[in-house]
Amino acid sequence: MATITVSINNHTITCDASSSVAGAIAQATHQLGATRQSVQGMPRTMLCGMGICFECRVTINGIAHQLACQTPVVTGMQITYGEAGDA
Amino acid sequence: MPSYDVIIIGAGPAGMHAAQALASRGQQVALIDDNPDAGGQIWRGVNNHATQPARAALHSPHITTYYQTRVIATLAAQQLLVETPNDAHILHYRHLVIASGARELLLPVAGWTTPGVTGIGGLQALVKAGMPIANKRVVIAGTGPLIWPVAAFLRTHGVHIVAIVEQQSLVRLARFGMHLASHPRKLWQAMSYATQLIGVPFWHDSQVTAISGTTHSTGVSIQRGEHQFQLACDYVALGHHLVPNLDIAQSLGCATTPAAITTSDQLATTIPHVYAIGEARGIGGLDCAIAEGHLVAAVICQDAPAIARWHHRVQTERRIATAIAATFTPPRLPPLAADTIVCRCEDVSHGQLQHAPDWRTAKLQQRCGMGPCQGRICGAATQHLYGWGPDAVRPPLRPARVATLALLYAISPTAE
Repeated sequence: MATITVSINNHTITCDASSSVAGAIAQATHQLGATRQSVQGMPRTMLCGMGICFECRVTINGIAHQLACQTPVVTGMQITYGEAGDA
Repeated sequence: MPSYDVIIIGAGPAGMHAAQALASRGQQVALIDDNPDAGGQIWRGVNNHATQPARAALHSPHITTYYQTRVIATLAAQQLLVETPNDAHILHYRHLVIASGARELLLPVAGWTTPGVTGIGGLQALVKAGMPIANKRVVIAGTGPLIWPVAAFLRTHGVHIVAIVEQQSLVRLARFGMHLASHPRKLWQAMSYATQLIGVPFWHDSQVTAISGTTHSTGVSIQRGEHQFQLACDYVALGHHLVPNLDIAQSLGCATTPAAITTSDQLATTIPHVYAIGEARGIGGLDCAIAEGHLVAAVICQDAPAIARWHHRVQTERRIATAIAATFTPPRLPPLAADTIVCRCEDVSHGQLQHAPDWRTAKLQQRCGMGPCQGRICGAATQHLYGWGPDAVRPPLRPARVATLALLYAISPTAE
């Protein structure tokens, strides 16, 4: 399986090259931890897996509100969320 | 402005088969999808699961593909405003085929916002996109025919399926099983799933009433008749069958029902030059979607022998759609506590919504459905919970970049 490296919250992560950003985050964290806080401060993360719910939005290469589930990983991609991002 | 004989929205099985059948008749086709690859939710990429015509579609010189591309607005004079990752375009069509597919119906339950709770198809999509799942404990709950292939898929990926919790009664499920007997290929498929799931606890007439865990799901409460019990798990996959994606059709002014875009038996919507195929025409499954892809191409090209042949095939495939609809809808819901979140984007609770008169008031007063998903999750949920109908669909259909919207206003200064 081909792998590539990306940066997730300023940590270098090796992930499967065919992953989505959502898949890479799950590989890095070994579970589906929160990737954003809701308006009332509740932990949230990916739900629908297919670009409908917008719960998986993260910051990719400095651009906020990108859907992790519909974005393929690219070598060197900078992914941030939570306190490290502003999504 | 790029102009096409036919623009197809949705590169799933229906859209890809339509594209290939149109291209083989010399039509210039644009195939648009918001995912990074063709194949739709069922194939997710054009791999060895995809049919030969679908694979051929990607090599046709007559087909232009637009991936990671969202339809932002439907415009007058047969034009669409679309947004790609780096750009925006206005595309012109002579005919438009809506093959926008379906999404899961995700209904609120206590704790459903906890990380670790996903859709059923949603979990499969995430696993296919690289999410590690081996040796995790998963509860699959809700209703619908999607439960079985996803459960079988997860098991082959080393998942410990703690239980399958299906709301429907055994009588209803058995009736559906008997219907499958007249579709040998589907019956074979169902039996193969059943074989792969030997030993997995299956509870019918049962539902998840709450999900526990604060930062991640740790278990579920299940109601079965009078009995309530808890199960520990790592992930909860929840889903209540599928609902069609109707927003583009509604934006064009096409008549719709909650279950489908309204069409003639030759797939025409109520708006001239606009057709609907596949799940957007009512949940009918893969074979139905493929047949309708072929039929719409024959209709657009006025190929009478092909129309007759594919029309007959569509009629046959739509019979199973009727059986699916009769079996798996409408879902029963456990009573919701007032603090259960219904609109996840804006954190609006059942207590804040249950006395609102309609969807429009809830949007204006509570901001229900006003977040980034634009009501795609809570709109269907509030329809089930409170019977609210949809509000008028307005552009932008998806959150869009300012530069994209500038294009919209540049050509249409009076746009609302």
